[in-house]
Amino acid sequence: MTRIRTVLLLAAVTLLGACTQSYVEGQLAWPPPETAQAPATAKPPLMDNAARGASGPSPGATASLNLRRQAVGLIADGRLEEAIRILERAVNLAPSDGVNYYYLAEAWRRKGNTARALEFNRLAQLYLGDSPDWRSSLKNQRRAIASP
Amino acid sequence: MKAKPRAASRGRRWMLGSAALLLAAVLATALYCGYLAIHIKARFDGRRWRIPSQVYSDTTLLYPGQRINRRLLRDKLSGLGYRRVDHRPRRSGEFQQVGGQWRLFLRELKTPAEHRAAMRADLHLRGNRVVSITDAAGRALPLLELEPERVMLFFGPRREQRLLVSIDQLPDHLVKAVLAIEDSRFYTHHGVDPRGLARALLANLRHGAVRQGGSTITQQLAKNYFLTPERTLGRKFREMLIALTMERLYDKNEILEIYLNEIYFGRNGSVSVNGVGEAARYYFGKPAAKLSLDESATLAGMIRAPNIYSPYLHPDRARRRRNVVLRAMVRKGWLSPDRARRAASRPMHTAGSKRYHRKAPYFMDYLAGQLADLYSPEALSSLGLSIYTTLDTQVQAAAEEALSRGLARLEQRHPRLKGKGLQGAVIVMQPRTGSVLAMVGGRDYRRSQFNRATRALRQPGSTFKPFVYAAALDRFTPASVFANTPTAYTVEGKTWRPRNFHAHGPPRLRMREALARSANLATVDMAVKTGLEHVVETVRKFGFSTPLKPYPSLALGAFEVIPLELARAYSAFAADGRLAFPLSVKEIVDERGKVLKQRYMTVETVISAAKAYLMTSMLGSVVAEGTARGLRSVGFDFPVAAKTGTTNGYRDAWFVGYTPDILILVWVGRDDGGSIGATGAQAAMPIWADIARAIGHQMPGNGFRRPPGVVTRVICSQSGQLAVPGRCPRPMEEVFLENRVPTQYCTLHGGPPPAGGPGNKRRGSGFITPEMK
Repeated sequence: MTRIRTVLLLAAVTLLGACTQSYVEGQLAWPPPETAQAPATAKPPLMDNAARGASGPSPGATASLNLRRQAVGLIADGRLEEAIRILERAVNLAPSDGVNYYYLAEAWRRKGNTARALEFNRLAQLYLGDSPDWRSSLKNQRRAIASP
Repeated sequence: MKAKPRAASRGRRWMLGSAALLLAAVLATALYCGYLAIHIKARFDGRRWRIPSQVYSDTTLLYPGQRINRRLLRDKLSGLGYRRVDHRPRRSGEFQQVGGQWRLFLRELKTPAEHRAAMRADLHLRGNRVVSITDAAGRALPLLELEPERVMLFFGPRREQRLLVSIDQLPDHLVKAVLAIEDSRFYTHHGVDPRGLARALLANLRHGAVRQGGSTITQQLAKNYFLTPERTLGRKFREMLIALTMERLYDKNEILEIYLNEIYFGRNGSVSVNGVGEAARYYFGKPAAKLSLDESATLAGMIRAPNIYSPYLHPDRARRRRNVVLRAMVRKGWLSPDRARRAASRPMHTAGSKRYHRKAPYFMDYLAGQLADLYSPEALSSLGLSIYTTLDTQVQAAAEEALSRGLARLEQRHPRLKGKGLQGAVIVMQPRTGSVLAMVGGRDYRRSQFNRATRALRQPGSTFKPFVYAAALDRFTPASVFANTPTAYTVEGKTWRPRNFHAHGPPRLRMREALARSANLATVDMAVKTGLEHVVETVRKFGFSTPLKPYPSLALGAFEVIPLELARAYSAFAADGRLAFPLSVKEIVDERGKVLKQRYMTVETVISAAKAYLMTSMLGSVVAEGTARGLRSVGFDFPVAAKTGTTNGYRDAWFVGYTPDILILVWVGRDDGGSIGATGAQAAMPIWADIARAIGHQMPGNGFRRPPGVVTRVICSQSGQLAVPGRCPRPMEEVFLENRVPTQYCTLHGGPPPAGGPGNKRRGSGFITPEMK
């Protein structure tokens, strides 16, 4: 019985070892996957943040958000020139953040400069147009700009 | 008997004559005083001083996660007049650096857009990044702003600098220190102090020479304003008359205020420091209102001989003189002996002498040009305006250093260039806002003031191509294929045969490849097929003011452009097709703080955001695999779009590159149009790389975001048509305008995809196509 058990144990160890070996060498031993036979698809250079594996908001985007908070308060207080100056700074820290353009449009609208307000509303639309949260705000803003 | 009446009559006549003479003298004096009064009123009731307008840089923003350049930041603090100390900063204007911890005691920040009181803040740095910012209580701050740096003064011919102060704002001890040492009976005399005069007379007689003037503060003012410096009795008499007249016209405080703003406090280089306001700023780096007792006494002591008692030039003499003033204050009973002793024991702390030299001289000339439409040179040198600009002195320093190093490097490599007037220009701007952060218009302003960044007309060579490609996107796609073979074109009866920079190249190139390789032949083919009139029409939208003609050579940048206009035009690619107006002035404020002018970000749409993205993507290939691939090898791993440019005979070398945050243009060439023997990638690109590496604080690390209207398809890299899965040997993804997508499958490798086989857009095929977002 003991001999049988020993033989079985040895067989199990050998089998396990073989499996482990085939797993380790698998990448080399197995035939390449089907897709690998197809030519690799080259990509145009990545121009977004994925190019450097960045994830989450950039430090600039966070700083931009903080500036925007200040600016929104200033707009509410009617201090429009100061708000515009801060938002311009926020824009350069996060050029693709459409909310900054929305508030720039808002500040210019309140200052009565329709042309600038519209230009910034269009930029906001470019970045926020897909967002259901912003769609109606942008539309309302556009309407307000058109009929001051 | 008759002699007596005759004598009496003679005596009467003499008396009458004398009285008449006296009366005439009094009348003449009164008349003269009247004349003086008119003169004095004209002088004092109008503008009393010519105050140079001052130019300020932009404020500096710091935030956690930001990349910074420690050396440039240290230079920035020094430029702002901060003094490095080896203890925790105790007063505003000091900073301490302990490893990665920078402890700052920031000064008050006051601009038209914001106001922040002086405060302590600690910057925690690791490597070249800001890890966190905390206030004095250790609370985290999301942002920190350094005050704007004064970079230039618009001087008039007298080169006087003064900062006006009101007597109500001045500390009592400053006024008393001045009175104690200069004119202690100021509030009791009428412009002339007989006791002071008598004392001066005695002293002069004792020494047998003029040692003391015995002048009151009013007399000193009269002398400064209306008289020449020679010491004669006649002049002294006029000085007294003017002083007496002034005292009749103005009250004591008004006279004292004029005096305190007028007096000379020495020189800073070629510039005269006048008034206690400017002296407080120059010697102690603070407003006069905040001068301590010992500092006030130092300034009061300087009035007699500013250069002899200058705390910069002769700190020991200045200290001794300060203590003389303190003792005089004690004698008058205006200061307790205890306070005087404490003040006298204080060491002489100064702000650190900083010359009023011109920083960023080419930027300043450009700025002056912008201001010329608003103010005359006379107004700029006298109205005391504060002009806030977009200048970033850290970027400016990086640009100047990089250009200087780059040109020296080039001369080292090509020794024949030495002495041939090798020049360069750099423009750094924010593509979104149009803010010009830095401008270098030449190698050495002292030798040549010609601003090549704004005034030079140079052929742009291949840096012009992207605008031609932008026009071509109205008819073609980045996958469209063009002939890259020698072709003859006839222009106004003459034959023109363009050539490629490298003679050997593929006979056909896709648009993306043609731009990446900067292929001339394929570009001209594309321009001609697009329509040269259409190319010119599109290019004009980018704001070029120089003449452009619909010739095939236009495609290769044969028509001259101005570097600043070229930089601005590229900004549209970086900013969703929006062309920003170049901004150098932000605000102009008068002496009282009233905002007179403001300039804001102004943009106009010149191409669609989708088209701008396609251009950025193709210009990304220039860096990834084209003529600017050298950038990758020197460690630029973030998204950059760029274009090199070299004109015929190596006359101009260009490099224009941008991220979403920053755009830098570099030009290298010679004013005489001679060859520099190097390409854009060899001469201009290394300068660009040096600048980009140094100005991390202006590159917050954003990527380009794909706007709506752009889709991706897999194409055959040889035919530029849709790839046939499994047949095309080198498929690749390409970006397209959604309304201009290829529909034809590759005819080189077998036409349409096999029936039922995987299509170009279907997932699960050999090609995985990311869907348009």
